[in-house]
Amino acid sequence: MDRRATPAPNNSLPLVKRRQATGIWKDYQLYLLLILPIAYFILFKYVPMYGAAIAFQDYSIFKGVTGSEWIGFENFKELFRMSQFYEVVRNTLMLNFLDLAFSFPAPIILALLLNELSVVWFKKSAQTLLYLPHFISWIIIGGLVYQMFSNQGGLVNNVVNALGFDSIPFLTEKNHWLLVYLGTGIWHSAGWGTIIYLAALTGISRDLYEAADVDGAGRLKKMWHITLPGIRPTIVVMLIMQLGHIMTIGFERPFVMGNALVMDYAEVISTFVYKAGLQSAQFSLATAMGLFQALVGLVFVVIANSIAKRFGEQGIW
Amino acid sequence: MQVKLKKWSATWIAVMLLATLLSACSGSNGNNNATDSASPESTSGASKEKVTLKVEVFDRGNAPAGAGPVTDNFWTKWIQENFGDPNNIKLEFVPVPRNQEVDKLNVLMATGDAPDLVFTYDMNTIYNYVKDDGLTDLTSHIENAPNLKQFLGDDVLNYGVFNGKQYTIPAKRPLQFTQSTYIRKDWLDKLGLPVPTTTEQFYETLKAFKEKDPGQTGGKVIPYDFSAINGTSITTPFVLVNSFVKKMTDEQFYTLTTSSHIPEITKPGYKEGVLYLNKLNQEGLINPDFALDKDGKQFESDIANGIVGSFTALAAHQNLMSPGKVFDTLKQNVPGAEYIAIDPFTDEEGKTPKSIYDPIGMHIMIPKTSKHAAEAIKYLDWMAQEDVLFTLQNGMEGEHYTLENEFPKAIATDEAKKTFYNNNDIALIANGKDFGSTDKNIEAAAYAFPGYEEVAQQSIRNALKDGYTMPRFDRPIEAEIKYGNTLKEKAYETIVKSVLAKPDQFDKIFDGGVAEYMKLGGQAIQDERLAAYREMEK
Repeated sequence: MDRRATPAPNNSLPLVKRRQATGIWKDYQLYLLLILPIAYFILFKYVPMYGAAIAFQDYSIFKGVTGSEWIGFENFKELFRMSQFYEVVRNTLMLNFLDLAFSFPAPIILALLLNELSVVWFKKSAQTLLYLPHFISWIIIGGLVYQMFSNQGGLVNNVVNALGFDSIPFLTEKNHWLLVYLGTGIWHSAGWGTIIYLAALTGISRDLYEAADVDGAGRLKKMWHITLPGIRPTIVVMLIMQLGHIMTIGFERPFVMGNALVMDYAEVISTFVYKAGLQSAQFSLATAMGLFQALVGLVFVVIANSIAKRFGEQGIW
Repeated sequence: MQVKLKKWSATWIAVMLLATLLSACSGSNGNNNATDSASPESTSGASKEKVTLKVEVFDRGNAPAGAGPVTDNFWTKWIQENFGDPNNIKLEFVPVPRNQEVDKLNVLMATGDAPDLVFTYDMNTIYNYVKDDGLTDLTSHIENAPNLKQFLGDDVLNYGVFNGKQYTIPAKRPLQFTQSTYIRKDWLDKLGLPVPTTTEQFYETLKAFKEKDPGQTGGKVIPYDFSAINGTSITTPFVLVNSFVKKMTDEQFYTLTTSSHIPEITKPGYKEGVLYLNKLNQEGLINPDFALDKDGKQFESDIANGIVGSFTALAAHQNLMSPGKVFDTLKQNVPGAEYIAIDPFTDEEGKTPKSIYDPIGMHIMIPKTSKHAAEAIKYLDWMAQEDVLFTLQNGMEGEHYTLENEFPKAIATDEAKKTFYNNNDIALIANGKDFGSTDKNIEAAAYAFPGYEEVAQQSIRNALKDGYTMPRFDRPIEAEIKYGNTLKEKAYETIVKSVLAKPDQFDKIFDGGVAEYMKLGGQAIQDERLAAYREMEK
């Protein structure tokens, strides 16, 4: 790597010439290597963005982007007039903030616990088992949840009934449903989320722990004063990225787990876009919603990043 | 050094993560491009070359083991041999999941890669396509299809005329029935109860099922079952609810009716119907988890397991009565179990009204992007020939059916099932078989269900009794196109919540739901419908 960055002939060049060879030409091989990824981003990330133009059009699928009529901000006005709009934004924010509060710390705690294990085979197999839920599709999880938590014949409620209590409406009452929704999220993602923290943990110098041992620090003290500060940059980066997604919500989880009884909470931006865009063919309205969502997401990232920097972390740019 | 390393690793992780996220997103883009670029290659070419005709086909996810997928099976091969090869056409079937047909169709149309023949039952979707000028005008094409024209007749074809042009080809529906109610005959016999003929008697029967548990289900009995009422499964409680609707003037009827299966929660009396379901729920007579059964599969398995006393579902339906389906499974699980068709939901006049279909099935369309309108019409015209249609609907004599009283009777062997399923979906132009008269049609329809001829016949007769069709306007209701899906969701939500509400909350929830429904566009639809009605009456 180093050798390529500063090619050998450079050393023999006179001072004047070396100054000319600064900038792009100096490391042109590196820039050449970058061309492919940059082309990829332009082609697949920026070019398709022209489609966002339909948010400002009275879009007809048969006339296409070029043929449809431009109507300015009409779609946004209509969107902000809809009472559902505020409901789905509220639900999205609510579900995501709750997820942040409960699902975000889960992998950190789990990683700390795993880190303390010294029996290697147990640690490895525990990790593997913890990763597994991540690979199960939400459709299947939806089925599992239904089998476990339905009022009649659900596994959990069978036990509750056997103990002589009434069924708990896990899936049909919105607050109970919220618990199930959050719990399922943790179950699904906590194990997989530990990977990044475990990787960061390996970067912490052993010397620090040895020094702490000498000073007589216990396990908890070491965790608090060495391990956690050691992975703090990673935690901050992850948090910023989560905040960037605060307006974005996966489609499958709320769609699969939701039902008509809990629509007060389960109708979120992604399901709304699906219903308005794909089912009712109001593509312009759905795109306007998507664009709005992206803008708010950007604002959140910028704010989170500047806060992180103020607290002395590096942020993500 | 330590700090620098930390800095590096943090940024590196961030970059890696972003990259994986981005690549995950763009993966789907790549796929679309691939299919886009593949299509023109296969469809264009000199006229002498083989033409590829793409035809939409419903995928109900019910292919028997060993039958092959809906896109490649006994029948797609038969069509290729008998229609494709002689005409130098290669047929390609494009599968669309049955309960997502509208979404998938919209996507196909938007990409400009729609099959040459598409279809839907959803009127709003059709209005949208007509409005946006996305369909091929078939007025002149249809003149080249004498068989098709003769088979459908002007009445049926008229349903496909919009703004004076033939934009769709409606399938013919000889029998307009929708739903019937079914009840366990062996349970009635066991308890010595009569077949219920009024709502009151029906209620008493449900109570008896619950209290005496004639099926010895250990308390699991569901006296009256239905699944989530989201318009995609075969069962709803709407016949019961609609029987509470009061007599209306013509003006009210035209104004308060909705199209595209939006529950008509604003009709007078509808609330009482929902309240009745609420009462049934309070007394444990319906399935409290119905809203969770979004695809109706739990419903079918509950029936097959013999814990359902009665239910209302599409009459003479393949999911229930076809060989190897729900009723067959029930018989295996519970020897002696038997359902009969009943018609108990009486209105204020003692009639049993229910809404029935128009005399047409789905609308078949050719997208404007299609370059093969002529071939597509040719395909439909070929299908409209009497012997072809008969074969498509009934299979091969001796292999899939035998003639009994001149009606084809299905053969129910495993071997026959493998090469004969979902043929209703392949024979696009007909929704049911036509033998010339209602009685004959009912008899013939029932022969498709060996072992269940009687219950099939009775269910169709019940479903037709006191039936009424939806009022028709001469133009689409714009507000309904715009708000239709939103309102459908709202109406379903209102009904589900009201049914499961505590009694003292019922009024608040139902009235609140209706108020919101009106605000979300219900009012706009009613205003437009009223205006259209008055215009028509002038």
